[in-house]
Amino acid sequence: MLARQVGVILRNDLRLFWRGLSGGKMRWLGSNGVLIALFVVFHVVAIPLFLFLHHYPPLAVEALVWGFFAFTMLGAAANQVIVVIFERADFDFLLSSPVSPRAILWARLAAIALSALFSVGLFVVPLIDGAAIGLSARYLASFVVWALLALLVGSLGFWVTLALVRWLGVRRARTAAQVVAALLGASVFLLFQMQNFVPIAQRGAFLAKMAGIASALGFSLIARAGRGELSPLAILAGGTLGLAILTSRQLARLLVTGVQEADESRAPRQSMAVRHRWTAGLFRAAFRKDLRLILRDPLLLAQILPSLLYLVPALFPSWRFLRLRTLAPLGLGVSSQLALVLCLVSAWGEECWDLIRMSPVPEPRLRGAKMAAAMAPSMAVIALCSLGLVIGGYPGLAILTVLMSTACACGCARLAVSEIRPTPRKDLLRRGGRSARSWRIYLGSFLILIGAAGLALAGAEALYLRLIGVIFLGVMLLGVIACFVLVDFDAANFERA
Amino acid sequence: MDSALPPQPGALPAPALECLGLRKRFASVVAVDGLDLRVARGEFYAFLGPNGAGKTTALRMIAGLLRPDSGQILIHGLSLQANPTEAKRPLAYVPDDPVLYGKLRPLEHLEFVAALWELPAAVAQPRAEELLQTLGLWEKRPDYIESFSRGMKQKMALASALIHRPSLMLLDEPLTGLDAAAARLVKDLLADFVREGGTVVLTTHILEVAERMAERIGIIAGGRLVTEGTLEELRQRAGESGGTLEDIFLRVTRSPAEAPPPLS
Repeated sequence: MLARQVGVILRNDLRLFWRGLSGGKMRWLGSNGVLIALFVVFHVVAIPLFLFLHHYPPLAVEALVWGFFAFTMLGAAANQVIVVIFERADFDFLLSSPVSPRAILWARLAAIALSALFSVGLFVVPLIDGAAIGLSARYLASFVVWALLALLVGSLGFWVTLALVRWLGVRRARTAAQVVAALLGASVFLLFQMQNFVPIAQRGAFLAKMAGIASALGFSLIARAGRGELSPLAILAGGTLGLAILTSRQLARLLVTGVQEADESRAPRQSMAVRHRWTAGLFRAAFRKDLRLILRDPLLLAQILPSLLYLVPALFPSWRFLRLRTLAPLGLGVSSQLALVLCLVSAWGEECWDLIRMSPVPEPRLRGAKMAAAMAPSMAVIALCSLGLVIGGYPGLAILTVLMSTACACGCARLAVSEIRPTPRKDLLRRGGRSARSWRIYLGSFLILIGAAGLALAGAEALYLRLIGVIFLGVMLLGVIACFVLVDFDAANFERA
Repeated sequence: MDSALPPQPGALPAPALECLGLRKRFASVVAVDGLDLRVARGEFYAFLGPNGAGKTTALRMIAGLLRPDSGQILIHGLSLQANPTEAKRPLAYVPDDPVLYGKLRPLEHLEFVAALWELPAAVAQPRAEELLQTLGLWEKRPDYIESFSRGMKQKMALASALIHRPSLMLLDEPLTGLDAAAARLVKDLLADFVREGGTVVLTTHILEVAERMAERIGIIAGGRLVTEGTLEELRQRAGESGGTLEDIFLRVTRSPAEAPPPLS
């Protein structure tokens, strides 16, 4: 009975997941062509690599790799728990049906585990295939380990998120869970990048220490299970299934409470008198409105955080060569990325396009106000980084950073508002969401990349590097000018939306 | 509340709204099929029709949110297609599901709407405060709109529509989800608005509202205006003296063959 109920809910969940992901088989194939190509390329690289390796890699290295995947999957699972608990409006409907809460939880747990499973599939499958072909067929057991790990992190994700709900309340837990998920997902990457702050002579010891930590956390057991050793595999399977059963039993009751708490959070709060200073003028009112909406949406900020979590550590290696001058590419990268994402949110995620479009106001003026509002946090970042450079004794580089970062942020913001496809805010920045992808966004990312590289090189000691940096910055400036001169505002997407 | 613009002095004023041969198709479905509509200034016009008849599509085209495939829309004699900025200025549209900024407070929301219609602060601020007080939302001004009930959001949408003193209001199911007191308040507001010279075009499934409030009623089915007139004219055309609007509506919009079979 329980299995049948789980099957019914899971089938429906997977159908919704598939439709949300693909929007049709052909579209899915089109939009994921790059991923499929990467999947093939990774296989082409991994299989010969393992064929040449001849012997098993050290267990500590395997433990570290499994640790990386486990944390990434845990981040994905924690994110998915938020979707399942807070963003799916079907709990009232399901809980009012004769389906047992345990069946609902099992189905949700399975859906979360599947989403965690797919989050790293692009990298895991080529590695396992490579190891199985190049080293030993026993590595095929890694597929079982991968699936068990997904179920394990799915259960853990549930516990982490529901613990946050109990400690912080639904409202704050929702934001905190997103931050935790982002930090978990990026934790191993962050850890790897930290080695850039360690002298080269001590790097080996640093990596050995990290491998030791991974082993201590039990990842060596997982690595042995992945090699097809039966007893670690049995321990992992037993532990995972035990935790999953415990999760379903204990959390079925908490799930109902959680949903009730979510309802309670909508209860009216105690009102406090707020003085309102009236703003007149379209530009100022629109600017203030968009800025308020950006600042008052903690979920939004939590969604933006992951992109910065990966961007900032990616610049750590330049610390070795540039030291404080790293602030120049950092300022450009972070400010432009913020401008791109926030502009995307304020334009594409605009909640009241109907109101705006039925008003007598010309739309380009509003898009300009949105650009300005989305760029306000970017300007703060640029100011901070430039101030750091001035204090560090690099006033020339600080001026260059202000000019180049502002130009790049403007170009990115302009790109984001030039094409608008109205999309619900919660769907805009979701990992795996397809809505926000377009050539304009990719062009924005290219500008950020070449601009950050240009500023990094412009701050280098060697003259030829500086020259290359200037060329990069010139290309970026041409790109920014093109954003304003060649890219028109596109107003044709509203009716399609 | 003196909500409406004064009628144009001089010769016969243009009607508040005129639609000529309006047509809109979505893929293979014709939502509005050659709609001709004329609503005089100061008139309360109810637009009725079964689900999917094309009422909302027609209103969204009139509000400038959808481009008609063919046909013309004139608001106070100004073509919406040729001169959208000026034609939209006297217009207000309240959709059936009010879309508001959840993370803004009522005054902040009204501030933005007032800016869209380019109202000076000296006019907009007292007007916003007056509207919030009239609609019973004054005490709620420190709260975010996302915490409002459905009825309060509907009132908020009405406040947004009224802040720029429109002369033509388009309302799509404005009474959905309102309790009796709130529905009464909205009906009184609309009655006052028309009394002061404003024009209302309203769609509703509550036929009693159309029967009691509207001067003229249009019934749309399959994207076409199938009949139009005062209640008395509709009765005469349907051949039912003393019949209710519900009887006329059902007779006009559904043939006996379309009647659903009884539930087993």
